[in-house]
Amino acid sequence: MIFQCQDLDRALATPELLPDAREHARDCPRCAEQLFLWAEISRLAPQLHEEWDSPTLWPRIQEALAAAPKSRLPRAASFWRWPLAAAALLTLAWALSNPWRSAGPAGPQNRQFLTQDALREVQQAEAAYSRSIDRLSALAGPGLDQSPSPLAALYREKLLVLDSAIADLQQNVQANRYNVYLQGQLASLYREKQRTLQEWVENANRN
Amino acid sequence: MRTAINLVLNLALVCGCALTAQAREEFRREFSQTVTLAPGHSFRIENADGNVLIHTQPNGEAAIRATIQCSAPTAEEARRCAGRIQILVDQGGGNLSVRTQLPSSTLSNTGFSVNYDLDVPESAPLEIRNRFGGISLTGTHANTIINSANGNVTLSDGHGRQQIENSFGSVEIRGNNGDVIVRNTNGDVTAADISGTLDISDRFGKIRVTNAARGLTIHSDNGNIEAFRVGGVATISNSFGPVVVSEARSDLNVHNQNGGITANGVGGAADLQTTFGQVQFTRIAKSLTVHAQNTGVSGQDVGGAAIVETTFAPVDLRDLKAGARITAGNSPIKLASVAGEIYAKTSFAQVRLDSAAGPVTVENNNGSVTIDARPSRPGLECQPIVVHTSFSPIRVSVPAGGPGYQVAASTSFGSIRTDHDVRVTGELAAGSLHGRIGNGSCPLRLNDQNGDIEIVKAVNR
Repeated sequence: MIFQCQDLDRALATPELLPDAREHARDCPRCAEQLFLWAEISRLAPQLHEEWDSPTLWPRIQEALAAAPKSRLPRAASFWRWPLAAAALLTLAWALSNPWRSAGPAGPQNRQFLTQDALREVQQAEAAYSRSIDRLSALAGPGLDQSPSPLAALYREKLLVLDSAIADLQQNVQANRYNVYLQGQLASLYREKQRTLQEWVENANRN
Repeated sequence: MRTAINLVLNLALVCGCALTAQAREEFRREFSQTVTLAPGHSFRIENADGNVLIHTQPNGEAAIRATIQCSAPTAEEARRCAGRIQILVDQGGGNLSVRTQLPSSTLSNTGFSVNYDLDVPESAPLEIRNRFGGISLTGTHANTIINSANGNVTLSDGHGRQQIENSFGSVEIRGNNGDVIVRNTNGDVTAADISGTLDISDRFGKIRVTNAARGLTIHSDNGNIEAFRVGGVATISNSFGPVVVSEARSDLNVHNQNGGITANGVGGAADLQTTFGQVQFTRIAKSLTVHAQNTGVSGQDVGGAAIVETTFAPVDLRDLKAGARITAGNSPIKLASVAGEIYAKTSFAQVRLDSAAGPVTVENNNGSVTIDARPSRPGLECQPIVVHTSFSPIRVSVPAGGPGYQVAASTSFGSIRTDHDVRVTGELAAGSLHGRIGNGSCPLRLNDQNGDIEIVKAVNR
């Protein structure tokens, strides 16, 4: 199909359209970003799952449902709730993973510090990234380490630069753990390293 | 089902409230000081964890505002943390220095940041250093050095020589009346409206330049490069990423590896080198030189001589106002509308020349040769044509009323056919033809092995 930006929402809801969306995103930075965020949310959301006791929650919801007039809205008007519910879920996932998402210069001005819970979630996400990177490193393995090709040398150099930057940043994060900007930068470096390894593995598989 | 949806909505609401309920105690301290800076004296700032935002003003005063923020489990700890972060202002020697001094040992379980908002004299030379945070500078009229580690850098409406160094963050320059040097490692670089020379080095980021009035130099390793509207000579090197240049008013030199090159609208000469990519071009005003391997070369409209070398990928060029020298190993050559002399050499592939107006020499092996010779003006004295190939046919079209030819055609294990009137001389043999077409003023030498030869009249178009 001739894929356009306005088809993206439909593609996210229809797996058959995702290959077209990815193809389109190769030349469309805006859609590429949206697809990237969607993939990030899909990956991070399960890791952020957490349960806690809320004994009063369900009674309150039941009470609210019972109290709500049954004919307040015509039945046909409930169509808006599906997208709203989806949006709410996405927003929730977004909020939970936010510190590991934004790395722009405006970060510290928007939100300076993590909460205790958010820090714990960030650390979980960092651990998940580390595991993913370890797996990818194992996959890349000797092929990357021993290849004499200029491309491999470039990837090795980039990984070295990233490792050095991660180590430097981790040292600073140790002294300033609640700083959103630092955590965001660290997250972006992990993402970059993950992406670099993925690229290499994909290239290796293609060749 | 509606109940389930309601549940999701309510859960999201409750969870959102739960998140915000986990906030720790924060303390915020403002720092403000105004210092007079004598003309010619510089301003230096060094920060570590937070943004640096700098505006300029015409008078000689520097207004320093900083916001120190701390987060800790208790309000008292947050306050103590903020108290231990100092803003040091020093004016020794007339130059003004502002520095963030962080506590040598931080309180455990705290977080902190220092954000600057500065107004500085527009004529004061600036040195800005930041480790973890963005830098934004607007309106400077002096030379500036920016050194960033992990943050985005934005420079707008500058005048003067700007040197920007960054490691992990983007660099964006929106207008500078003067030279700009950017050194980045792993972040994108965007530069627009630069009146001076522009020199960019980056290792792993994308580079995009728009409206660079004078010389442009870009060195990259693994990033896409785009340059639009370049006034001076553009010199670009890259590997593993495409290079796209449009509307360069002077010479263009691109040295790429494993990446394509696209050049559209070059006012001077273009020198393009790459391997394992595709070279495409249009509108090169002066000469074109392409050195490539495993790379297809296609383009049109070249004002000067075109020299192209490549292997294992086709060459397809048209509308060349001067001569063309094409060497393509194991790949076809297709040229159309070439006004000057043509030299084409390849093997194991076809050579096809349409509307060739100048002298032609083709050296081929195991590939056919087809030439449509069209003298650039009627009655042209001479358009020599020399062709050698093997195991494939040669077909040459020459106009009946054009320059005359002294024909010397020979082949082995093939036939020779012509629909021109040829005055034959010498011995008649199956694989050999010697004679004259018209006045015989021009050599037409066709040499084949194991292939047929045809000399036909060019069809009027």
